[in-house]
Parts: sequence; C-alpha cells; structure tokens
Amino acid sequence: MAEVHIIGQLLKAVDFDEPHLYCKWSFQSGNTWRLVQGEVQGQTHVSSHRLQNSSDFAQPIDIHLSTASLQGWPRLLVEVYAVNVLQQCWPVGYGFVHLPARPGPHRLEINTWRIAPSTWWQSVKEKFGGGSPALHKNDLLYSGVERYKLQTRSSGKIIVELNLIFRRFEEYGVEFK
Amino acid sequence: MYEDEETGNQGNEDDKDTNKVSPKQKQKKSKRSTNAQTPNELGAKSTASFFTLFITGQIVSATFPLGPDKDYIFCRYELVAGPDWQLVSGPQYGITQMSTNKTGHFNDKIVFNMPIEVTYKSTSPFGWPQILVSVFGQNQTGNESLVGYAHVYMPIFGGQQQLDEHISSLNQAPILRPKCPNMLGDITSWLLRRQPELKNPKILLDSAQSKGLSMESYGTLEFQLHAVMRGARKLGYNWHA
Repeated sequence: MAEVHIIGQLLKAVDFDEPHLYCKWSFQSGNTWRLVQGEVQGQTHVSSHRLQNSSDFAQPIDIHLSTASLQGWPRLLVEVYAVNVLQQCWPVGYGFVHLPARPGPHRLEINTWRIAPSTWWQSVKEKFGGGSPALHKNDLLYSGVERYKLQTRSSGKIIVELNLIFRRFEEYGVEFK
Repeated sequence: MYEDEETGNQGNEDDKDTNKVSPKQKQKKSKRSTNAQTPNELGAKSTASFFTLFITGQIVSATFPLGPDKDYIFCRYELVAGPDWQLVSGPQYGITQMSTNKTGHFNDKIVFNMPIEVTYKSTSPFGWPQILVSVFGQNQTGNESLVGYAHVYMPIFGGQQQLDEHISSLNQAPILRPKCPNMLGDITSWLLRRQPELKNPKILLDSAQSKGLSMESYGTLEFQLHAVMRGARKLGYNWHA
C-alpha cells in the first residue's frame, strides 16, 4: 500500500471582513484511502490580529494516509466562521483545495466564498454583524452536482503550507514529475 | 618464530591454525563496529529500520511592529515530537538571554541568536518535531509576564531554498497571545499588569484541544533552520519528485 504523509500548518486567513475568525478544516478522500495516524479534521482557536486585517491560526496538521488506488485524491475543506462580542458565530467562507500531486513543500491559497444575502433584511444583518445564512448540507462544498440556483459572493483567502511525503508509489508504477 | 606468528595473525585465510585466531579477531571486529555506530559516523551502515534527522539553526529575533510593551524579552523553547521520535542528542528545553531594543527604535528587531542543534531518530515521519517557543517579557518594575507563543515545524525538505528575493530567508512564525475569556479577566489582568498564560502550551499544537481558545496575534518570531536527513530513501520515502 502506498502511503502519503501530510505535514504542515494552516497558517492564516486574510482579506475577510470580520476580525475574529476560526476555521474548521477537514481532509476528505475516496474509499480506498485509509487513515493510519493523525486526525483528519479539526477546529482552530479564534484569532485576530492587533494591527492588520488577518487572523493567524498556525495550526499544525500531521496526517498519515495509506491508499490502494489513485482515485479519490484527498481534498482539504475549510469553513471559516466569524465570532462577535456576544459569542455568536456564523460562516463567512467555504472553500476547498485538492492536495498537490507531487511531493515537496507547497503553499496553497484557498479562495473562499460565502452565501450572498438574498433579502434586504439579510443584508442589513450582515452589515451590522448579526449573522449570515449557512449551508444546510456540507457536501455542496466538494461536489458540483447541485450548485445551480445558489447565489454566492467571494470572500477572503486561507493560506496553508503543506509538505507532502510519498512512500512506495514507485512499486505500483506511479511516477511524479 | 616471531615472524610466523605475525603472518599467522594477519593472513587468516590460508592457515589452519588461524581457527584459534579468527574468533578473537571476530570479537575485535564486532567491538569496533558497535563503537563506530554510536557516534553515528558516516562510515557506519545505516540500518534499514529508522532514519535520522539532524537539525541545526537558531532563533534569530523577534519583531514587534509597534514595539513590545516590555523592557526585556526572553524566550523559553521546547521541542515536541510524536511517539515514534527519539531525541538522540541535543537539549530538548532551553531559555534564551534577555534582550532589549529600548536603546534603539521601538520597532527594531530584538535579536536572540539562540542556537538549536538537535538530532532525532525515527521510524516514520508522523509526529514530525516542532519547536514551541514561549516568549516572556519583563517590564520596568521587574515583573515577568507572557508576551505570546509561537511554533514552527522543523524543516522537512532541508531548510530555506530561496529562489525569489521577495521571500525572506527567515522562517517567520506569528506570536499568539491568549485573550481573557470574559471582561472580569480583562480588568484583573489590566490591574495586576499580568497577561493570562496557558497552563500547558502544547494544546496549541493539538487541533482537538485548541477549540474555543481565543488568541490575538502580534509580532513575529524569526527562525533560521536547516535539516539534513539520513536513511529515509532506503525506507522508500520520496522526498523530491
């Protein structure tokens, strides 16, 4: 069985409108991928920056996967939530990225989107920090099947630095260029 | 007679009498090889079950954009690694000197130049070692309180490879400071002039335990780290395409 090690950090969130953010991340992969060690999902602490409009998480990610097939290459899904003074939280960004297909250090930028307000009341609530609509089912994030009729708006970026180590792929005839 | 004994000892493939000599020589050879393995010389064969990671570098400096609010800053670092990793040589904990920038401009770098030289041995890259630094500061009255925490992974692919001038050659980590969970804590910490500290800063390294914490980031801690690995390719690991 070929193995993949993913070692890195979820660094920060930039260009979001709200200052206090946290990020829920998870790695999803196909049926033939098995988790050997590590945790494939997590939630960062709430973070804000004193001067700039960014949030530093620096959350370490360390995952060991083993696979029997190349299908279902792992993806990293992120959901960014904002918190206000009253400890209410609502999602301000959804995004995903596929893992790069070659070993080595990578710096990934995940561009996120959020649901656009559809009524006047929702846009007022959004401006004054009350909340914004959330997705009911999360599989919209990584499947393109039922996205029609969903109105979204662009949101900030999540920056992730990942190092990928592959093992025993040559025994199965897989070459990386 | 003297010469025969000498040739008997050296040429042990020809004589039948060397059956007595060869076990002694074999013992001598095995003693020599164990002595060669423990200081980890390059001449010794790397055994096929583990690889070694040699890390060298330093904690270079800390930078605060609007100045730290303290007179003297010092750091305490700790190396954290997974269960498969064993620290072969080098200190796991350390404290730097107390450094200041109050004689210069307020946002000058505060230089530590603290060396880090460790060797790890492991069977798997899971639990790759990280360095967790707690930054403390001392103000004019002599009270020490927390400035923040920073952590980075040890370099996996050898260290900084700069192809672009825009990327700085230092590995920068944000310094995160825990915030009080309620307003009473904020007032208390302002009156006593002490920041809240984490009882166990290693929860920042664990994604399952850092939920619900509220942190503020201010300032960066710069590292310069290089890593050399030995024996990983034999185990089948593909570090570069």
